[in-house]
Amino acid sequence: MPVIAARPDRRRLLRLVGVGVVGIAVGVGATLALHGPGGGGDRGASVQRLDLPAAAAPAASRPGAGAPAAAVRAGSARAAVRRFLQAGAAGDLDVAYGLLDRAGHTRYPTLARFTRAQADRAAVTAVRVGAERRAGDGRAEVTVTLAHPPAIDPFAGLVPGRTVEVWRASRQDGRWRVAAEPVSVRAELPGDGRAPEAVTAWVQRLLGCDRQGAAALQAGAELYGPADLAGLPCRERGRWTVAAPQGFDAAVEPEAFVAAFGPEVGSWARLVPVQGPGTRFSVVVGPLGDAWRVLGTDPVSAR
Amino acid sequence: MSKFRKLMTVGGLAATLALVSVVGTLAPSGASSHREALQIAQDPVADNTDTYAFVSPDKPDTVTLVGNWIPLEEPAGGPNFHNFGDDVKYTLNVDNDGDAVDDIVWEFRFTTKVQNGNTFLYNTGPITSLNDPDFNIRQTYSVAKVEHGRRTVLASGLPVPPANIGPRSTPNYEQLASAAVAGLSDGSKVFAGPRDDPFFVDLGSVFDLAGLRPFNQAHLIPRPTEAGVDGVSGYNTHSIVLQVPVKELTRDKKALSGGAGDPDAVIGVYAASWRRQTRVLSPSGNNPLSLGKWVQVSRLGMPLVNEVVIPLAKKDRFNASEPADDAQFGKFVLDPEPARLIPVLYPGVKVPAAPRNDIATIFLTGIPGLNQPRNVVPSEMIRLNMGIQPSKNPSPLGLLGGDMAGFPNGRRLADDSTDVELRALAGGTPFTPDFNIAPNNKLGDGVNTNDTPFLNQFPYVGTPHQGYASDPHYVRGSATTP
Repeated sequence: MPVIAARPDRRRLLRLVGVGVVGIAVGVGATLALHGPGGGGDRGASVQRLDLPAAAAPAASRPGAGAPAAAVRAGSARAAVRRFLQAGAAGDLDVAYGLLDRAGHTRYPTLARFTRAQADRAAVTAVRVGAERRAGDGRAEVTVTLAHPPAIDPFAGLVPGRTVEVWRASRQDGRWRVAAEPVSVRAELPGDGRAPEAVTAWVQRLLGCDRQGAAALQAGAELYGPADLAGLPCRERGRWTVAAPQGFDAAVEPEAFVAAFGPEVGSWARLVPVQGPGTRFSVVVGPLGDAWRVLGTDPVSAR
Repeated sequence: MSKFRKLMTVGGLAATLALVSVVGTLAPSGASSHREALQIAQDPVADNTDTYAFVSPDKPDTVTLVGNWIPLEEPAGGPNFHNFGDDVKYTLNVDNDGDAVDDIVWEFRFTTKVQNGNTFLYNTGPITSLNDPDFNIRQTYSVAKVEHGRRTVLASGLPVPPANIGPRSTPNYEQLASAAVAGLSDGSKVFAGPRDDPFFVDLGSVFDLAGLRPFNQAHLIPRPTEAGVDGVSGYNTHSIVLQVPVKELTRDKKALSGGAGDPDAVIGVYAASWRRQTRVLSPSGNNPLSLGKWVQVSRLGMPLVNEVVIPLAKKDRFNASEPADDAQFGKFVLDPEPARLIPVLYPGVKVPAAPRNDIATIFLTGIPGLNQPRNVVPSEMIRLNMGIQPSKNPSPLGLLGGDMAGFPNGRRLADDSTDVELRALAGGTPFTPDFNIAPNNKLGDGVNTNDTPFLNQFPYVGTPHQGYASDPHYVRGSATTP
């Protein structure tokens, strides 16, 4: 590859173009992956065309673009699932990819695509492998407990601190291989009984007009729901009470929370009603690890 | 039944129907967005209008990425001025190993807050700061970075500046905009908000049967020669601008040791927008609910590929597809329709015959020795050699003007990508010497510069037009020659 000068001059440009023309004749092989069968004749073409032997060569055959995964062996379904998840946790995605089953390789034909898809799964910090259940036909389901760095954000929604998941392994090509996705995921959430504590602490900060202190008890810098409700405790002095939590089903204006965290918010968020001297509203909380954190506010229905 | 349950039930039904429809037709699952495609033209908030990538002129150890959304914003369009979509995920994507798969993705999500719902006013007085109580309809956003299969939230609660309303409402607009520039924990710098649309093109003439006013007399339906008219002049857009250290973009996370010849010097860049699969409207007028998985609805790297090369029937599929699957669109690039139209609409002008490997090289692979990565998988991306230093005398014609720091090596705001691509389609480049003659290598729309100046520093994209002084579309292009 020629070194390109920082400042162009005409001679270098011509040389560059010369390289480009050669590139078109020779290096454009990659382009020629685009030619379909019978993709037009060359007669009259002003630009030389070369057909690659493997038209539309799959990216997987290209070095660095996901060369065929080296098969990774595991002695049992449990061992395969353990190694798959531990490799993922350690960032050794080539190992995890080598354990992926055939369906997984069809879905993710290159390591690069598999790698990119992992961002939509919660990062794993610890793996505990539990029971294995044989499902017949050389398949087994393995229950695992995974620890994650907990988070609530508008990209991933809820990342619980712990999940209990069932992963399927299959005996394929003489070795145990793992499906790309779990069969089921169950998040372990803190008990609802602890939600009012978090809301009480948050309201107390607001009663002292300490928005910064209150923000420290939130899941993030953004506060969702009507903008004015969080300001009420600072303005309405007197007795404020916090009631028992309710499911998110009761939300009057769920839209902002669904927009931010996805429809799954209904399964993990809670509403905690608060009552001031002249107003009442609900505080929406979500589980950040073992604690509840404030996500926003929700008005109380006029009915 | 609670409101949330009702909405979820409706949403679940809609999602199921959508799935059945997809299985039944094997059609791409996403609606698409961009004014060049039928579906995206209906969805301006998700419409990625332009993407730019260039070595920062004042900080050459960094690269600036610009994604623009919302086409042709009328600056006076109040009382509810244009905003990013709360229900859209915007991304800037980088491929640093040429395999057409993203290696680094920056994701952006926005939240709109109305401070006071008891007024119709966007602002209840002059907006003098980003937390001014009179700034009534505000947006904030979060940024995440996806790399090596991990997503890291870099920042949240970052402010978006208001619309540039007028001398009473936003008297010190650039001060407000400057305050919205933020640093990120990975050493990057970010800005998101309204800007002047930096694209310049004679939309009115180009879409009138590919008319080029300076060449009006040569057209099949001739007209008197005229100066070009910038159809984007006076309009705004919404920009997300990100400035990233070069060493954060390379495959090995190191600064380039071999300059422009460094094997890791070339990156591919595109922008995209995503929506959830199902949108549920509320009978009570509340905000719609967005449910289901994220699907890509718009994608844009190289300008004008989806606009004028991909045919109507495939445009929304293109928007929903991944660069790694661009082989499906290869035939349109190798035999581009606009190139076939040139001899028809401009009788006597000859262009190279298909297959146009020269066009595929410019649009899909990058030019060998300049901006083609090793082992490149052809795909529609802006390809930037980060080792080429910014030009001290930039030419808007980029490489064709002898300026290797310009389009199609990356894309700078001032690059006249329309003229470069017109000439490339006509074969008026050194890649096709037989056709590198007049008029092929002189073609242009007569609009050679933007209507407002670009900034000398981040975020570079010009100040948005003010609503009060708005007179969009009637500002003439600056040049009378192509």
